[in-house]
Amino acid sequence: MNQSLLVGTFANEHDLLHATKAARQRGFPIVDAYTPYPVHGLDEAMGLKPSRLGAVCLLCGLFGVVTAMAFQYWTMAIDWPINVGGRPFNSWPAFVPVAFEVLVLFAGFGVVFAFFGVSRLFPGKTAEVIGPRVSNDQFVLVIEAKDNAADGDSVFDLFREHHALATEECVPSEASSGAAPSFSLRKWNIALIVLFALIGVMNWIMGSDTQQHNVEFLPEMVHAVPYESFAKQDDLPRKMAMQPPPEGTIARGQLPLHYQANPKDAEKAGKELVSPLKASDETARKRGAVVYANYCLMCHGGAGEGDGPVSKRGVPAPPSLHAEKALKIKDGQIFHIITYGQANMAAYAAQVPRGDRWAVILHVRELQKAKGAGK
Amino acid sequence: MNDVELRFERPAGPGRAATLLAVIGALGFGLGAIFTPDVAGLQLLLVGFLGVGFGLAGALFVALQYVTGAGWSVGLRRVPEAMIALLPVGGVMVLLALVAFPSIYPWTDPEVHLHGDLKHAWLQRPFFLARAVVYLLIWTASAYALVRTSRRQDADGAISHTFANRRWSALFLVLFGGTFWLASYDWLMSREPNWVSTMYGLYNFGGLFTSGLAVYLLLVLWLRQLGPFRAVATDKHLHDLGKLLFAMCIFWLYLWYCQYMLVWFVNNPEETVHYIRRQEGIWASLFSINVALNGVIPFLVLLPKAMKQNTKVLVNVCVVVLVGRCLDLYLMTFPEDNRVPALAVMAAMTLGALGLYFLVVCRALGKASLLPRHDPFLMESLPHEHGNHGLSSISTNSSEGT
Repeated sequence: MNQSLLVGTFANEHDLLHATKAARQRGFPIVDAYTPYPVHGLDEAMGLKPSRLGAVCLLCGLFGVVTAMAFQYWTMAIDWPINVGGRPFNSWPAFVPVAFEVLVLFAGFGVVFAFFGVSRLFPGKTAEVIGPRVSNDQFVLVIEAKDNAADGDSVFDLFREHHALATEECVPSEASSGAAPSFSLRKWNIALIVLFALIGVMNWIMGSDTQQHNVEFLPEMVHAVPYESFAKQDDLPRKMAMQPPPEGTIARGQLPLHYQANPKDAEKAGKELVSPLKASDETARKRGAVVYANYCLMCHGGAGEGDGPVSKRGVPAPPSLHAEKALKIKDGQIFHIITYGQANMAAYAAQVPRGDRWAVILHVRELQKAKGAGK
Repeated sequence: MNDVELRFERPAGPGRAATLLAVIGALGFGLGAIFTPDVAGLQLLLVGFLGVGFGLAGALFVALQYVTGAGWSVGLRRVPEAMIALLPVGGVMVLLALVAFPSIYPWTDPEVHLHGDLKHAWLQRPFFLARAVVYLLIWTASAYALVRTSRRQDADGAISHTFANRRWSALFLVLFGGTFWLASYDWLMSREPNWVSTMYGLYNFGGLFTSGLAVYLLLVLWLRQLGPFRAVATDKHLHDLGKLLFAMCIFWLYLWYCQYMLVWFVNNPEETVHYIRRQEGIWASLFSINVALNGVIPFLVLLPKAMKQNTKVLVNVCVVVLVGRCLDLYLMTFPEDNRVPALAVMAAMTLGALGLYFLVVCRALGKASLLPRHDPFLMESLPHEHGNHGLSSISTNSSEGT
């Protein structure tokens, strides 16, 4: 293609726009227009067809959504189903955020790469610029010279009509050979390739066997300083890292009670144990009411009369908490009864922690007081 | 050149139709208040809230333009300014519903247990009503300040009004942001006093701005067809407004999904009850239609550029969005009572409210010139041919039109 090009340089976008419109009206074949920034209406003036990048973007986005949904469905429901909080394996609401992100990723990259492809751009390409100032402050319109209407003179006339700063004719092959090759970009590309090669070599040295250590570049984090809890340790007793606690160790908050589960020890507990709670402790009393409702009420009844719901279903009813004996009984003895059980009552040590036992005793006392006041 | 004045006169036909609708709506409300007071009261609240939403969306649009220093929309500004007139009208309807129909809210029944002391203190009737009055007063006062200053500029042409309105706009945006979510909690979410979603206010804002933009676009298209905006609202303006509508529909869909997914994921019985109720029986289909009308359909239709400049498509999409907003409000509040709603009463009241709002907006449009003729950004907004400004063409066009 040795067709010569006719180049008009303009000082502002209005002149360029008018010149472009006029050139199209007169049927001159427009090659391209170069501007330092996007000019509104220039695409219409040049008669460019609507961009098809939008359609590419849509297709890439749809592809992203379908891919992401399908991949998540495959991993979560087919290949490795995991029960997450009892939800169905195929839980689409959880897939949507990932699908959305993949949509954006695919659409974004797709449209950029499509644009590069259509405009034949690639890293390291030699810049084809009609003149250095079109990226700064000048506007250029390029028209292809034809022998019929669009010969040099009539096109130059049109340029001048629209206040062109300069008009010139040039042949494309000369123009491209005259441009300086962009060394810096090529350097960057070489640097990138070297970097990737380095990463590859390091990966190769480290190896793919994850069971053993290969060359360690930053070894500090590989070897743990403390013992691994369950590892073998020859210089320790039992040859294990984890050791049993010393004899007589008591876990925090688990002081032992030196009583047996018999009535004699219950009386002994009544004499020895004193409640750590005060009768005026409001939170403890509230807590006691809750514990009573959860564990005691079904047998002893809401008011402690021994008329709980299960006693109406055949379980022997407990004696009333308002009986003479129950009124006289000491706090410590009640504590013993709750802990170890008595007669038909089971031990509640496992269900009711110690603090709660003392709290529920406060509540029982309160029930007794209320009943006594009522009489 | 600066004496160009575009005046709006309401055409007789639509005016009569709107008056008729308003009368039917009033009748529907009257009959409903006698026979099914609960439905009539709640529907009054919803249509009032719809109108307040249109007014707020108008003020929001105007304020955003001032704050960002936008010029493209100045020529169309009298339309959102006219929508602000809906604020007091809708506000009165909301207040009437709150005062006269306390049974709308289950928490007015002392037997209903509210979780938490703060909620108990917050949902006390005198405090609740006082808050409603305060919200409406704040919005109306700050929005009307914008309109008043803008109209004053028409008279004296002082540029100081533009700067004053920038300050008013910033104030309005802050006040709006600080109160609207509370209002939507109070008026709509407290229908279900023990259900909480922190997304609720934002979700409502999405619906508010989407439906407000739909009304704005419909009015612009109507004025363009009628004459006065023929040379003012170009295809590029429609494209921009269409893009905004498109964006807000996606925004609504995004918020809808966020709220749904959070509740679904946490799977807390107190929260899921809200969605389970809406996914059973007749509600299930409405639940899907709501998402389609407000989000999916506008998104798919408005995706290509040509659709955002096509008048017919825009009108249809706006109508779809408005129907979607009504359905959305309905779905937010109605499923709480498992009663058969009086559909005739609700339809009559909705159409009546729309008729009334149309009359109010027309009256507001007639109060000032359709072009803010001394606004310094007006030229930027009008169609122009490279330095040759378009005011002259507009004045000739409007004289042809009248």
